Amino acid sequence: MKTSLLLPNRYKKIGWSLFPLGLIIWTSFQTGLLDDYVNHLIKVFILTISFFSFLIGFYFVSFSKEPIEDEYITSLRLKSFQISAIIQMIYFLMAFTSMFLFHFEPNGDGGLASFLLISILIYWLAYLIVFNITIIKNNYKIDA
Amino acid sequence: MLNKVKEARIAKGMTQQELADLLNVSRQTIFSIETGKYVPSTILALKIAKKFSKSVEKLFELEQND
Repeated sequence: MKTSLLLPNRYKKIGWSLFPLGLIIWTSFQTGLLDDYVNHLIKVFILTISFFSFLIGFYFVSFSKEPIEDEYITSLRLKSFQISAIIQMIYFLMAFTSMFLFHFEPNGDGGLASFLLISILIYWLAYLIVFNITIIKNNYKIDA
Repeated sequence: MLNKVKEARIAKGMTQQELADLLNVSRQTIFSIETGKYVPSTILALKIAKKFSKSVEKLFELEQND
């Protein structure tokens, strides 16, 4: 993997702040939890900003270098990408099986949009989880 | 692939971090090599062998199914 395509390590910290913050704010407004406090225009503005901060944060976290980016980390990235691809494929198989066999289809445009969004994000989410859990597990074993 | 990196490191009285610093890799890499979870590249294997003043064959050994 070309490490020159990755962002410097400092972006990871920024990403870990933006990603959950954006997700929490976006989910709160999407579910109508904070509807009473703002008018429609401000709501759309906050939704846009929070969604993009979630996406940018996600990108920063996924594509930032580790403090020492060596060959093991590179191979771990590749392994995590492979596992994520398998997870996404299983998700697709299960989703399409349930659609064709059990007629469990996305509900309207919103449902379809959510299905497509989850289809894309599941890959990156799985990558983040597999990669970071392996690193945390290794650190725990080293320190033990 | 079997390896004797841990034995060689302990014989030299080094910690995983010290070896990692010498080789410019992370401690995770040394841990993964020692536990057999990761097979290092030829370059890294040669660097490790050089640090311990041993031949690569002395440190790394092929298993029957390799």
